[in-house]
Amino acid sequence: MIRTITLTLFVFILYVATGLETLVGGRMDISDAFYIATVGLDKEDDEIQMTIVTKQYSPKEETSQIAKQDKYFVSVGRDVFEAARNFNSFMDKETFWGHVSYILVSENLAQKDIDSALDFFVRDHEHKLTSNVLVIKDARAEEAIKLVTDSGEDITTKLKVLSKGVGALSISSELPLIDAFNKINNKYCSCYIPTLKIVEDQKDEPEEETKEASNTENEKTDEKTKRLVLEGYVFFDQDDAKLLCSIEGGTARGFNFIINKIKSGVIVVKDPDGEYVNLEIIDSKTEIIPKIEDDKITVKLKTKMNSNISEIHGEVDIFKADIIEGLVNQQNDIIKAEMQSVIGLVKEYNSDLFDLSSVINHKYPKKWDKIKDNWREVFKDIKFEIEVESKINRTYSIKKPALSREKEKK
Amino acid sequence: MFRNKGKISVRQVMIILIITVYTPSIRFIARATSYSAKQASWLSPIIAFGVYVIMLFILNRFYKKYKNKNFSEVILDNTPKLIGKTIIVIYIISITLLLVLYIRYFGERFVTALYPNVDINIFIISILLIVAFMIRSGIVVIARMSELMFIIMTIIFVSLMFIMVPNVQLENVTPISTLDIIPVFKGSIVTIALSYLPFYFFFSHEWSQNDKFLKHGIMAGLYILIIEVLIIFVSVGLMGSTVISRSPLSFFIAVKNINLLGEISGFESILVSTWILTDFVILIVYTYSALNMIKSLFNLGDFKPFINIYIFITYLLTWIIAKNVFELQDWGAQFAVYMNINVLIVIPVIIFMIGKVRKVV
Repeated sequence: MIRTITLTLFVFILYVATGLETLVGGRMDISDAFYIATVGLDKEDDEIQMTIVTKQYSPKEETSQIAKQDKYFVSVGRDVFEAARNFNSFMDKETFWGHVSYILVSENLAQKDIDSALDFFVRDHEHKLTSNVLVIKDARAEEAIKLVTDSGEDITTKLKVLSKGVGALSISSELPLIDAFNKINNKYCSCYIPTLKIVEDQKDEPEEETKEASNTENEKTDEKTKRLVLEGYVFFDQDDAKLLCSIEGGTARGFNFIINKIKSGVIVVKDPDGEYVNLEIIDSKTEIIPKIEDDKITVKLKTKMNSNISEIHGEVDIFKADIIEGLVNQQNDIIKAEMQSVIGLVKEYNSDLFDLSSVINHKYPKKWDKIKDNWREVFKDIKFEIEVESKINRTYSIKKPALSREKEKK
Repeated sequence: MFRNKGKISVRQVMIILIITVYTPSIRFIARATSYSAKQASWLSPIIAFGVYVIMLFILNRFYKKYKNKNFSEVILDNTPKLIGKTIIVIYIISITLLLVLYIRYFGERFVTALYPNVDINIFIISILLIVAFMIRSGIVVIARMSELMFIIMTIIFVSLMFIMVPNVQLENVTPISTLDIIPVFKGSIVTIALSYLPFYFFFSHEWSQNDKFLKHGIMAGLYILIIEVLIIFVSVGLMGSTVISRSPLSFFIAVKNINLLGEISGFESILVSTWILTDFVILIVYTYSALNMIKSLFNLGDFKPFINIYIFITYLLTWIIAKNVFELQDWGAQFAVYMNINVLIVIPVIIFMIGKVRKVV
């Protein structure tokens, strides 16, 4: 008992001797923090400009799931960490980084410094490794953030919606920070990061009558409206992580076909009359099959894909074996062309864009061990072959086209 | 029944062993093994299990031959007195250095992963004060407490695995080929270095005697094997060997990466709770074992008067051992691992062989 009392007194005296300072620092009241949800990184001369979008909660609001309007702040520093710390010099609340969902890196910064731009987010203890990384193409990250936030929208929610919706066209995808970091660290394959771009909607010239009527309205708003679009990828060189090239549209979908990130999508083919038939991609699976013979590597990309008919424009009853076969062939050719365009880039940059090294390592571990040190040299001699095997399985509620009339029998 | 006699059962010893292997395992085995064996690192504990089983048979012979005697007495019985005493001194130094390493790591974990702005002394002094208090209760209380912590640890570990295993990317833990044999052996060095059982033989006079040493020992070994394989498998499977081999808290960042149903995260706080519990067990058991060694070396009747001074010395050594965490990591990887192999594997085997030659065991 005496020992317990003595020890307690000793601890108490030690505590008092510290001047009653808070022993455990770093505590943060929920109402005294800015919760950063999206971060934008730009290059500003030789410095890094960081734009943060915060979501402020008070305890009451958090429970009722009502968030105040997002705020964004801009700071500059020699590097990412300094820029992050500089927020504390003017913000009236502490920053909390544990809720970061998106990291937007401008193309200008990503050009040479993608590894150092992401290092702070991977290293720092507060960050989640599941935050998604995006590169802003042909624009500044700050511009993208301002565009959405100034219009009263929440950029984080907007990006979440875009990410969810990207599967409908399969021209981009999501990439968590940890996967980006893993790919940057992999010296045998190129790192890819999805891109976000600002698109200006071109308004059609209004007719004379409507022109006058809309004049007053136009004076209040800009002629062109801008919006964010999640489309395509940028690639980084496997040797020095410098920006290599970017893809979008069909090539981006071709890339998704190869890396099995196709969720859905639209393929437009033509019926025998030349009218459009829209096909909805249901699923797709690509097998990358390497073959090594006499130290020569050939790679077959074998894609199996299923689609359904979602829209018919013409009058022809296309549900006949020979017509369906024709549509399937067109579908095969489109997919093949999209994948071929990726192979074209692979050859142009002599870069392993879709992690072929891993496939060869898994299938021929011993051969890989011999060639890995000379991988880039070996890579340029690889021959690629694409094989697409697709099916059109069904249509939905109505079979025949709307304009398909019964022919009267004479 | 045995508890009334002031002794602990072999089962309880094995539970202590599991806990004390678990705590360094979650800290560094995924990192250390994946550094050498990369995607095949999860096979490394199998080699360690083989070594453990061999050691178990050797220790079983000591256990049966030297009933109610501890390892110090075994050493002194098998070697000349001066050499025997020297070996005990080597054990005292080794376990003290290891204890110091674990004390420092206990604090470093907090300031690395959770509280970077907090004085590390707060964590170190707090845990040492509790150890100093608890150790006076004796090994029976420590063993009972360990049983409870073992249940908590198992529930939390199983829950984490339940969430993590389905997300493992198999391409991160394959391919496995004959090329991986040497790297797996290299990677297994750190797992072999965790065969802590000989340290607990220094209080084997406080174990109850039964015929189930081998049975409980093999069960504990299998349990440790599964835990270690899973820790490495999910860490490398989720994050890739490149990231894991570079992270000072490899399993922690794998747990931090859990995102259940796309919404629920923050599971690392659950892991931290098991850290504190299991670290506490390892610190108290090592201290108990070290004090028993000192008691045997100086033929003392009781080690209690030395508790405070010993703990104070370990506290001072905590600051002498390394200037920063980088030195601490280097010290652990380049010295502690090989020191462990010598005192936990090589010396017991040599003593066993001497005993065999002298037909004592």
